[in-house]
Amino acid sequence: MRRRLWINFALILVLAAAAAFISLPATQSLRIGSMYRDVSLREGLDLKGGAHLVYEADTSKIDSANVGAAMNGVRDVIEARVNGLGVTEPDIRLSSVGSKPAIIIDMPGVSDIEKAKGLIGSTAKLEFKDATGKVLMEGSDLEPQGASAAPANNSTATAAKANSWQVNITLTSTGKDKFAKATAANIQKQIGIYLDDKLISNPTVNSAITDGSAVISGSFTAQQAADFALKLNYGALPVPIHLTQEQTVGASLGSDAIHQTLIAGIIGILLIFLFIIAYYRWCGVVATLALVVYALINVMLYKLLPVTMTLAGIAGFIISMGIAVDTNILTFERLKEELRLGKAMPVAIQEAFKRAWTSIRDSHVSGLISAVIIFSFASGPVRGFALVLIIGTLLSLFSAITVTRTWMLLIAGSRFQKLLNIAKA
Amino acid sequence: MSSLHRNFDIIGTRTRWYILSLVLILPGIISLIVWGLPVGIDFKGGTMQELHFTGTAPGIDQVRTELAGTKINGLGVQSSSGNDLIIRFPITDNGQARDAGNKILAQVKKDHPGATETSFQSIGGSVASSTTTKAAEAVVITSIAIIFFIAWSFGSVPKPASSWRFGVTAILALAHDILFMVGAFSLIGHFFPGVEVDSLFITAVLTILGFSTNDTIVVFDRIRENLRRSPGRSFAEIANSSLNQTLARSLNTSMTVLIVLITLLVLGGPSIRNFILALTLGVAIGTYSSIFNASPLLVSWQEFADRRAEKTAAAAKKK
Repeated sequence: MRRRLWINFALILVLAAAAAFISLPATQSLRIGSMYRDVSLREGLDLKGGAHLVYEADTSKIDSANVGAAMNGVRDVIEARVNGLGVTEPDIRLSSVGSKPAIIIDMPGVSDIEKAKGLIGSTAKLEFKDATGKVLMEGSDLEPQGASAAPANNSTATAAKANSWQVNITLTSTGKDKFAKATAANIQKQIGIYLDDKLISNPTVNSAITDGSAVISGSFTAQQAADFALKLNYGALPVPIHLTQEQTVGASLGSDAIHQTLIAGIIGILLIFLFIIAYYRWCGVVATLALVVYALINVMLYKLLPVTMTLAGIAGFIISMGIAVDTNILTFERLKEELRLGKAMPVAIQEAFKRAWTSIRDSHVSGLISAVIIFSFASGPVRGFALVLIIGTLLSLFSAITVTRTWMLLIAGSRFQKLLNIAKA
Repeated sequence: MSSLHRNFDIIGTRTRWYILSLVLILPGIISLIVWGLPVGIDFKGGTMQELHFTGTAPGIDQVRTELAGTKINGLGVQSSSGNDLIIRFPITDNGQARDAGNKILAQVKKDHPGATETSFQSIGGSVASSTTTKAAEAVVITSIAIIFFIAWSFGSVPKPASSWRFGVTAILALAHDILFMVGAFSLIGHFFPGVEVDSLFITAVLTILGFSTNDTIVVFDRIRENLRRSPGRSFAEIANSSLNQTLARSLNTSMTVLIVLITLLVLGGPSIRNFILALTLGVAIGTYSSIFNASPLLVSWQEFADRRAEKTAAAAKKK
């Protein structure tokens, strides 16, 4: 019996040490053998700055059976575009606004929000049309990654000055055939190049082009040409989308608010510790140590899963601490009653945990119900809050019945047993 | 601490607590009727722009006058923390909102060089109404889930009690909590602009739904245990001693949570202050209702059911 308690005790210490190590702000990555994992704490919009964008999709022009597939296509293209921007850890999810499909894009830490909006929102439908408006060739005839920006003449310096950058495109084999036929049919006529139904350039064909390469010139600046190429490379959106919600946070909001909230949270948690120690004496000390382990495991999970931390998430963590304290209080109050009935300490501890269990389980489940519902309905920081709460509630079930219980039983069998007597307090 | 060993007659004095609940809720309801609920852009759409100034932020009236030239309708200026101001306007179209925001920023920068935009949020009408529907759905679904969970979890409760009664009573206590929170926000929001109902408020309400049920369940759980242990005692008696047995726990738990929440409220950053305020009010009222509403209501209902059963029994006898 005591042997098993000591084994549990050792396991808890190992877990606590691992949690403490991973929770350290300095621990940014883990390497075990060939396994590598990034364990930096993910910071949400309000901590790090960035953008939260919601786009509504216009699926009125496609068959309702294809909406799902189209939206998956929208997500893939946007994902590629956002990754092309170099945004780290974007969160892109399909959702709905009323009855319309929508896509939510969270980009913590994105620096140029206007550029990101321009790139994401563009349908990027490329079309080559003849003078009669007939579509000769489309974006899908482009080789993947087949667009690149280049100066129109050979010198970069004069190109920048003269705003005469161009976009070179390489065509697939079908595109090559189409373009060869189209140019052959339109010699000495104009072919219009349209992006999202806007005329970009209207060159006159001199001779048939059969090598599968084309040039879009339209007195671009270097930047415009690069953006244009980026749009073409990530493909067109299956359906047009438009921005309906935007939240952008500058990085400067961050540090002050976080510090203030974190410090307030730490003070609050220290006050909890003081309160339970003052009220439950040595049992309170045991609970405090168990809570420290609990907090460390929580932070470890935030880093491992990972959970995107926001100010609301910090509040969720603090409420989790409250839940964990509650499980301890429930058992201590039970312990008092059992001791008053004259039971011996180890028996009283076992009984207290056993009897408090149904209350602990039921109350945790009701908390979980609301947390899970918040999680499934919410978006943005509220979602993070719910996730933190779910983790905290599940972990509290574990920590109360293993950590606190093991430690109390160990003390109960030792010569320090008297310390735990809180019945007369 | 010895005072907690005393046996408080909570069930016997329950009329008093019902009246106190009314007194707590009534001002909020009146405020809701007279002034309505201050709804944030999450639910009605619109734009909110936060500006940061180097040094102390200029006065609200001054900025309002400076911005008169932008000709943006319904412009509101509010102070945030020390060096920040919040500008609101009811434009819901995203592109127009960004243009208006840029105009405001340019104008403010002219008069206060060094001003920067710390956050910009614009919410379209369709998103807002979808958020509203989702929030309402979430509250309803949570409530129903909790009724079912309690009814299921208390399925083994000994007669004469009924497990559904436990679930429904818990939800009545929750409705009381939500009504108080919403009413309080209507009242506070009327006197302190900036305190308003947004997504985080709904999150707070849902969290309190969980937290307050948690409290109620602990008491109910004790009632069930005591019903099994001492079948001879009256339901009212059992409810009262169960309340007393769990009183220290309820108060201590709420105390610990309130300690942190109040610390956050006083010392924490301003951006989640409304959220923390809602949680603080919710935890306080949730603790109150789980002690002074849930179990007393359960007893009232039980006694009502008993009397009716007696009447029908007596009527059957007469026949």
